[in-house]
Amino acid sequence: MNNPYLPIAATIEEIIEESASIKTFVIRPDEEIVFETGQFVELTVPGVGEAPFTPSSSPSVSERMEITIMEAGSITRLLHGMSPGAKVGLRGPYGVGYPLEKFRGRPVVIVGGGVGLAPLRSLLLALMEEIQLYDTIYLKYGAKTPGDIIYRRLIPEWAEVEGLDVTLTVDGGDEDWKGNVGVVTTILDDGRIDPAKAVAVACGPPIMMKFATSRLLELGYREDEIYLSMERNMSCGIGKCGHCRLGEYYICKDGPVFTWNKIKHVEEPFA
Amino acid sequence: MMDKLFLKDNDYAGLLKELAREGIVYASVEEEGEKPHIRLITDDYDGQLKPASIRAVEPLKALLFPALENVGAYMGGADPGEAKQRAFIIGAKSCDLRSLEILDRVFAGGDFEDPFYIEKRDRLTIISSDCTACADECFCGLMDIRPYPTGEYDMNLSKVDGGFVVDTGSERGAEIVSKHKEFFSGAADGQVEERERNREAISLALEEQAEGLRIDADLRKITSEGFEDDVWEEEAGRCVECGACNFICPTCHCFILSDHAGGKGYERMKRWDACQYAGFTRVAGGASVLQRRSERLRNRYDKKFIFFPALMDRYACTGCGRCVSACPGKIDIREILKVLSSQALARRQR
Ligand SMILES: Cc1cc2nc3c(=O)[nH]c(=O)nc-3n(C[C@H](O)[C@H](O)[C@H](O)COP(=O)(O)OP(=O)(O)OC[C@H]3O[C@@H](n4cnc5c(N)ncnc54)[C@H](O)[C@@H]3O)c2cc1C
Ligand code: SF4
Ligand code: SF4
Ligand code: FES
Repeated sequence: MNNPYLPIAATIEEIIEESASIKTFVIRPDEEIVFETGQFVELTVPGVGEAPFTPSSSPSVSERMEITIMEAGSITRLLHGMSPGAKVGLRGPYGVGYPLEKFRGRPVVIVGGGVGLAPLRSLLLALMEEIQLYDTIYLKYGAKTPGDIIYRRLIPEWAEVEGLDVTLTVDGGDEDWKGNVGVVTTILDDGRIDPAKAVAVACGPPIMMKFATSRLLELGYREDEIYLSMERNMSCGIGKCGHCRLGEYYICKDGPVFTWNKIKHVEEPFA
Repeated sequence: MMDKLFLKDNDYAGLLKELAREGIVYASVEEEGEKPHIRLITDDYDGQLKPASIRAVEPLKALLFPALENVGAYMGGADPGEAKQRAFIIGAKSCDLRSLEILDRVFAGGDFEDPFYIEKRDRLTIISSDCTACADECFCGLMDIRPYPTGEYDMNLSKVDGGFVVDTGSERGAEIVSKHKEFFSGAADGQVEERERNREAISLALEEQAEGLRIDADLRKITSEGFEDDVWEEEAGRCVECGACNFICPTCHCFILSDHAGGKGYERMKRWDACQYAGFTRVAGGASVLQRRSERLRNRYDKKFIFFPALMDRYACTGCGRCVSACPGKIDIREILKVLSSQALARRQR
């Protein structure tokens, strides 16, 4: 029987601390999981339950998967307490990936807030693997404080990549911070980008998504070129349990990424 | 087409007991002083057997999508491996048959199939029956549903004097007839005519009941136009978040997966969930898109009268009235639709 509700066993191989509340888990499933960037998985803490996460690693690697997780509640707390070697479960991938073919030849503006950079890292890696196919890729990332910036070990490498432009900002700096201060919407206005030609991809906390969307629209980005990662409580991940409804969609099945034109009619989409 | 058949009142119990040798028989029965309900019939059952006049208290979904179901073990647990038996439901009513369209779409449609639902659905033979009464809460007419089955059954029984006019709707139904020939005879023209008269009479009674409701039939429109209406806030004030309206509803399909240790490994359960519960859409950190009770109440109507019509051109309400009887807060779907309808009318007249 093809049972869509059960996970396959997986082993945590490595755990990397990204910030005080965020860790990246390197996980090896017993069977390979092939995903497209933007799709998500359900990660099981055996005997306790599961939660949805978008892999943060490259979709071209299928025998191992990295997932960057913020401690936010019961499942994530248990995950944060785990050590390498621990057994977890995985099922998926679910949802629809980013339509990379539509991004080709155009500037791609990636807007991340907090742990929202995790799924975007997978996208960034996928784009970087064929970077010559795109116009410049702009990563615009905001975190609360310098200590909350994730992937600090990787960002300097990214900044060196030709065709990739990285801008960081923090809501509040410290003595050592020399970069931008302000929320992520303050670094979206960029004279080098022609919004009419660009695609924007955003992922972050609801409030950031709301303001980033309005800012991008103000700047002249097209409604159908603003890709937004939407979040709702989820259980099944396969469009059956009813938890993740957003208007006429289920986020798990029709998303998790939607262009703004598809969801703008929904009352309070970012609530 | 096969001529109509007849099953005598006296043979009804006999047929059910015969079927009980072939599988599990659930029958909707009306027992002394009780509301129509589903009970298990074994071949030694000796109680009064008489098909219920209206739909049972229990929705048909309970047989296909149980309130709590083990969906398997993982990482070392032992599979429950329950015995797969044929099952029969006797006396399902038209409204519940219509709910199957919604459930089939949810559980057997889409990119992923629910093998648990599909397997139970395949094993279930449906012997439906015409409604012979109409309860105060019934408003199937508003949903364009007749009080007698028009499809989706393997066999249908229409009560007439002395017995039932029998229709078969599938191979399976025909097999029951050929296997149990002794119970069936040809129906006389007069009996078929009597059946038609009964159907007209009950339809008329329902139409009268529906007319008294004065609800605009375009439920999609009145619900979406009434999104900001005060009625949600006013009515939700009496909701105690018991979830009864969701659980008792034949088309409410929401569930939640929950895990526990079992055997040598772990087990996962699929259990009914209710959108009227505060936690239904709560995410880590406490935020929820359905924070207010009024938003959750409205969600139920949104789902039934906007979401499903957009998905499959069907209301996900059968007018069975179960939620009306079940709600301890006396929140009545007909009253809410009435308010939405009259507000819509008032707006148009302005
Ligand atoms: C498509 C998608 C991708 C995500 N990707 C990431 C990621 O890469 N990194 C990350 O840190 N977080 C991600 N999240 C958020 C993450 O799923 C929640 O933080 C997590 O579910 C919290 O679970 P918990 O048990 O710790 O919290 P609790 O509050 O104890 O939640 C209990 C249960 O409710 C459900 N639930 C609670 N919050 C959410 C939520 N925000 N979204 C969906 N279901 C929820 C889950 O089933 C969870 O197990 C993603 C969410 C979605 C919908
Ligand atoms: S909403 Fe109420 S009346 Fe409609 S199908 Fe569900 S229980 Fe029956
Ligand atoms: S049955 Fe009534 S009280 Fe119970 S959850 Fe539904 S609306 Fe609320
Ligand atoms: S998570 Fe179950 S329908 Fe989307």
